[in-house]
Amino acid sequence: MTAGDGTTRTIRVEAMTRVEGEGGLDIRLRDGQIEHVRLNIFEPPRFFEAFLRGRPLEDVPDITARICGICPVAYQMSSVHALEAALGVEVSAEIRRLRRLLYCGEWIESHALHVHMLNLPDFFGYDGPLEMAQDHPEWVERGLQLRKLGNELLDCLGGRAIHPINVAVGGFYRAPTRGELSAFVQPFEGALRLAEEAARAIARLDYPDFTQDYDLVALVHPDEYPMNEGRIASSDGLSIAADEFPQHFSEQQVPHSTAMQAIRLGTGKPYLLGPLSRLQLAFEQLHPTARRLADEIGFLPPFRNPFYGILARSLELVHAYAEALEILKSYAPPKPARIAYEYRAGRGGAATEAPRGLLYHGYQVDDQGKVVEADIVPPTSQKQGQIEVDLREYLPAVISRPDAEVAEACEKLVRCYDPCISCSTHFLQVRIDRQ
Amino acid sequence: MSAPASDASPRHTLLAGLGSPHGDDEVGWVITDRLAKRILGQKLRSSPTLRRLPPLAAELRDGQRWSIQKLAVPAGMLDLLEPTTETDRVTDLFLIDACLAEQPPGTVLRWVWPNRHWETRRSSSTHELSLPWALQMAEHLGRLPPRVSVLGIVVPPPTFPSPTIPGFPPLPGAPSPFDSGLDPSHPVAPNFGLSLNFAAKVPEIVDRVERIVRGESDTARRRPGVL
Repeated sequence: MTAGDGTTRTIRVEAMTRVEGEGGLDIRLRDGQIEHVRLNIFEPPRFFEAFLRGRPLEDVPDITARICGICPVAYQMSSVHALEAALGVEVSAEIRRLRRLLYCGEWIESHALHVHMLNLPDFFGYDGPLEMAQDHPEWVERGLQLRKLGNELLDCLGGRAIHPINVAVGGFYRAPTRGELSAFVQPFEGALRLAEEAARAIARLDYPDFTQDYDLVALVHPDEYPMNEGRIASSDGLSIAADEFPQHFSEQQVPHSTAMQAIRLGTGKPYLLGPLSRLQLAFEQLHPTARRLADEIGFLPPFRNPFYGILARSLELVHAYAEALEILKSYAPPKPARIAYEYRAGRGGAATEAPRGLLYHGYQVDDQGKVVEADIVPPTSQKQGQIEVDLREYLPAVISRPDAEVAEACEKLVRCYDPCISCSTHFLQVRIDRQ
Repeated sequence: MSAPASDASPRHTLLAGLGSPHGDDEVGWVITDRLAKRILGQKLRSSPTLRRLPPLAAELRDGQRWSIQKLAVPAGMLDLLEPTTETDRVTDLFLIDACLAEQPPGTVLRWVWPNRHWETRRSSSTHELSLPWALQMAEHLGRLPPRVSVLGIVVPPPTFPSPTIPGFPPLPGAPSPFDSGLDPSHPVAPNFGLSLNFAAKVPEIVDRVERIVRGESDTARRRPGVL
């Protein structure tokens, strides 16, 4: 929609498509200059943190999984790690590996969907995957194949593909048998080759020339590509324990959005999360198969163009398949599947890497095993501020075009971050000033 | 869309029930289970909560080939119809799902695909794909059989809040019910299974659906209508 009085020009995308959740975009120009760029999140609040209070801590992974239909494992992983920190529980190496395998399943499902169904049509100039499937069914077929195996792995490990029910504080309610998981080895070998093929093809797409000087934030771990453990690091040298997140990052209210936006307290500026950040900060920890592929296609640091998010996801898809395959081949059921614990009052915080970026959970529990306070900071609400900054920087290159084309170009940029608006769990605080 | 099967090909009907364990939304699975028992004389072995579908197998009954399956999500249909020798032979697909409509609960509505009145461009969620979206995608990928129908079983409007579970232990320690609007001392029941009044209509619904899938009642073909 556009409105103009001669000096002002407003471009509004009422509801963005191919992003999860309800959000719009508002751009206002005055005398050719950008007056404001606002990502409007109008999805209603969901009160997850509030209704966790008073609940048994065992309910938390199952309830928080409902925050998102595509990254429920991320919510489960961040919650169990935070609660285990509060309870002083340490899981075995076998449970840890099984959790990484589960997370691989989620990355596979989420990345395959975003790359092939949500983002790729933009590069081919189609309105969506349905239109793309008519001319390029091979791309859609490949995406469906890659996604399906992620679903099936989640089914097997989580009890069901959407909102899994097998993740417990301390481990898993039931560990799959060796036979159940060995059935995945052969299909995963084929899928790994398919994922490599897809990444090579995606590397050959035409990418807009747009680079930003990002503050990139992700988990880092000395021995592994970041997923469910590590320190929080940034490209400007930050390195903190995950439970120190609240001391270094802050969420802020903005009047045009029901979701909060995050900044680094040290810089006062927004930052970027997600695959580009992970690749920048943990490139050497990529699985050797993915690392070799990155060299082959010439996709090397620094990563400063958000449009390359699709290639970063494709490379992480290769990583997730390769790592999952290793775990599947060497799997032995953890015994016990779940570490016992005793209730104690305490606090714990943890961060893991959701497909869209770093996801922080913090909990205070009492000595009866009940949740006293919960703090959940999803990746999409963290990076909304950076998306607005990027839009503002990107606009001059496209602003001379007709309004519909400007709106379309901006939507394409927003989709590169794979935002999940539905994941926003915070609501604006209400302050009543009585005089 | 695939080329129509020749007249000499035996009819191969695939029934797929869509549903969930939550309340009357289960009706697609319930009807599919009952039809499997009536038509094939056996219980379905597939677990509807799992997306891992067994390879499509067909049973020969009364000169017709039948495949019956339960699905948890519409996109599961794309996996169900993955090209194989068996899926290539399917001539008739019936998708059975709960729906909300003006007609009284228990009414069976039928839509014949393609149906251009169905909105497909804006799915309710990019993370879960709608039935029209899945149908259209399957069509573009050449996975649909020659004849496709969606049977909508009209269910009662959902009630909120769900009934509480009798005897469920209350959860102490909630600071205030006003914090969240939900009182942890009054837990909400998960609301599994069909509601009692609606469950009583199931035998009648199964009769109607069986007539349709056997080709004995075809009055609503090519237009949405009440059977």
